[in-house]
Amino acid sequence: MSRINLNNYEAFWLDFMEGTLSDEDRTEFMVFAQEHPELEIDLSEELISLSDDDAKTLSETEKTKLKEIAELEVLIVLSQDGELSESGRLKELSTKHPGKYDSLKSEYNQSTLIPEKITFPQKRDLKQPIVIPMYWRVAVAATIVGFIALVFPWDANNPTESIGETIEIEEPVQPLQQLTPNYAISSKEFDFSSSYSENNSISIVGNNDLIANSSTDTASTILPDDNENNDIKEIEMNIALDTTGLAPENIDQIVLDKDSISVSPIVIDQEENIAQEAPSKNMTVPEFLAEKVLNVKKKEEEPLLASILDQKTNLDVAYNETESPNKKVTQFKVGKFEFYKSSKK
Amino acid sequence: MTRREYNSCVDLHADGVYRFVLKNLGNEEDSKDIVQEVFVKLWEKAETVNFEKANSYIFSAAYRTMLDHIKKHKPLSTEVVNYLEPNHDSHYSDVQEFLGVLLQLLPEKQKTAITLRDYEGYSYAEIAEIMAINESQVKVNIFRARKFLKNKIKSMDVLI
Repeated sequence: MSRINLNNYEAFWLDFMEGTLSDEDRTEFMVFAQEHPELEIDLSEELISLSDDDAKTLSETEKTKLKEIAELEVLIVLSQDGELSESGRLKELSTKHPGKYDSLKSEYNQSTLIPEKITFPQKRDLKQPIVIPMYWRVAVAATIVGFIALVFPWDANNPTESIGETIEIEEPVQPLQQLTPNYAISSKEFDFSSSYSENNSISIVGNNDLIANSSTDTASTILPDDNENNDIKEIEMNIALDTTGLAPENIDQIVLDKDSISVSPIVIDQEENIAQEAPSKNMTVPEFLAEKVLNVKKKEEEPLLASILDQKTNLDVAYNETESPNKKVTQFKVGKFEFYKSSKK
Repeated sequence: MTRREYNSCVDLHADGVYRFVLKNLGNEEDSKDIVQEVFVKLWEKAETVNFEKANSYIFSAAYRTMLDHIKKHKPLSTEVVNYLEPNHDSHYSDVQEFLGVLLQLLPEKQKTAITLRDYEGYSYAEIAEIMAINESQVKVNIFRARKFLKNKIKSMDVLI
């Protein structure tokens, strides 16, 4: 029975190619190859073979020597490629044919190709662009926001207090800084009551408590008469005034003249000398501002003046009239100050 | 294989596969086209190709594509082979330059097997997998290629 089958024929094939099969196995393998053409065994692929001429003319000793040298050649190549599983036969043959072994080894060493550095030039074109998924972007954004929240925490339970604190720190300083050193205050008398009937009253109220609380100078304020009598309530309140560039006598007048009205905060960003001029007794404050700032005659009606002031200055101007059966209240707001005029019908 | 792994494959194997194809075809433009085709195929099969096995897939695809290319184009004519055949009028600066010329004279299978072995460092088993032949055939092809190169170098030894 044949020892060669489909499970072990490759081992016999290798030995056949290397010429190491016995004559009996060699014949058996050739028969097996013919019986299995689907395996495409090329019997001409025997690595070690002798030419017909050699076989006829050489003696058995010479034939054996040539076969051994051919086998040595195969073993040297396998050894160089690191594919030699068993080196015993190579040692045996190299000892037997040392001169041939050295020359063959050198020649096969020379035939080895040395890899050279070659770079594919369009490597970048071959790559696929990396797309970051949306959920990763969201995750990264959330992480950054969380990190900022951790590093810069704020009191979420009391946000108004926090805002109030900020204003408290900044506001007392800013109004005084905004006032220029040369800013002048009109301390001269400005009698509203004289320009209206006896039942009329005019008031100026500072609507910014912070400014009032941080002031260093004093001015008097007249509140509107809601009780429709002629009594004028005088309440002292503090208004932020910068007196840096003010003449000493003017400062004194501010303190002494309880009826004096400061109009200077309104014209801070306007011409400096306007506030130094006294409004005439026949002028209301809006009329005075309109005339000095905008060169508009006081004959203009107050609503129109309010509109002109609003358009031509950077001040916040508002005008409102409220009428009841027996009185008319006019509210005029310029910047941080409100003016009230109440007159009986 | 993920997109990132595919890009790693480009970094790792694009140069090697280009060298492999270039040494076998000897034409830069055709070699670039084949490499691009190989990586397009790899990306198309990215879901089924394992990153660890991508190396083998790339060289197998390159080998098959190269064979198709050779079939489509005319093989070297006798005149060209004779022109390439080193003669005593040829001058080479070193053995490697001479080997590069000799390589073009080898049959396709021998050329492929020896370039995969020497340039890319694959084992006989890996070469067998890439070329879809058995290991014994790899052994035969490499041995014959080496013997051819050795004999040619020996005959031209004086010139180098």
